Amino acid sequence: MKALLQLLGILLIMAVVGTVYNLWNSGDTATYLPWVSSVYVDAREVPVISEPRPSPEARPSPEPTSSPAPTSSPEPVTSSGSAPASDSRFPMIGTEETLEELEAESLIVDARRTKVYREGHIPGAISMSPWEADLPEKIAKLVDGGAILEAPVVVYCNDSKECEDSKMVAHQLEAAGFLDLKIYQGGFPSWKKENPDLVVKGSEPGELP
Amino acid sequence: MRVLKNPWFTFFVSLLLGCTFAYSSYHKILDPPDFAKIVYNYKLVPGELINLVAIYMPWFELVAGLAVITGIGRRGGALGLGLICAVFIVALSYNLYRGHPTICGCFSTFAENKALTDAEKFSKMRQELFIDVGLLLASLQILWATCCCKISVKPK
Repeated sequence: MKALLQLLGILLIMAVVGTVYNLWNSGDTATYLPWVSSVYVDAREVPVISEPRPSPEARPSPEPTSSPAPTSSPEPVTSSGSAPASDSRFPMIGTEETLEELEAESLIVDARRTKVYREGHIPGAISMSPWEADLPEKIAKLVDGGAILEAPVVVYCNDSKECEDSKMVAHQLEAAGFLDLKIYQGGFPSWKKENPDLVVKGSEPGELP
Repeated sequence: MRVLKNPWFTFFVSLLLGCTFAYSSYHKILDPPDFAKIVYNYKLVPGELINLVAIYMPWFELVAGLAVITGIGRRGGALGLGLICAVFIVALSYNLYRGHPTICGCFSTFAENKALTDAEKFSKMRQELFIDVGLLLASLQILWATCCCKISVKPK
């Protein structure tokens, strides 16, 4: 009985200190209180759409904007040499295709943590981690900024096998209306290995040299 | 059996258990999103609970660890830490049984372990399972030793 009462006291202290710490600790490395935001997307819980996704041509064109959003062709990129993922409905592309998308000024999204993004990322890639609280804010900013929803979007993370973070971000972007989402299967390790000169450091997306 | 109730022995076990959990909570408190990834990686916790676990469990480990070390609420702390050990033992055992490579996250971050191969992860899971069993036994010893007699922070 005494042990249970003590345990209750410990739980109370934990709740107070944990809440105060998480309210006080803000920034991109901070997490968020569960009742404030629920960014987390479980890939297993996202309903799988069995019917094929509508082609970009079938959708009405968005309002013309002056934003420097991606303007490349929405036609699917041939994925020669890249293995399609069996458990993902997003096409997987390789390094070569990602480079083509980059040159075509497609939107590149880095799904790794912000602190890792700062250490080096693909030129022009914007940071969107599914594990950080500001993901909805970033997506809303992207959509409100006039990003063309039909344009290709390439998402990558730090994993060359599963790359679940990329899938989570892709699900969120799809929910926001983006239609042509692809996942760079090799992720940043492959990119850095094959294109060591095309890496930008810092918190800004940067540009292709 | 008498040695198990020895105040010095109990004090030493409390110090070991408390310090282990206080240390293991450190990197989780500093980087909750990393711990959230670890919890997700177990594939056992519902999505709605992941943030909750990632935010509060490290603080529970720290507070309970300090309670065990200082002796203020030692029995409650030992009970709580024992329950955590039991949960981790069940989770790791289940993932070993079903062949799901898991990063325990007990003493290291997700990023540090991500580069491991599946075989290395399974090997590490077994090691961490043994550590958790040892920590569970330690908490049981503290509970048993403090059941009938009061253990002071400074043993006689």
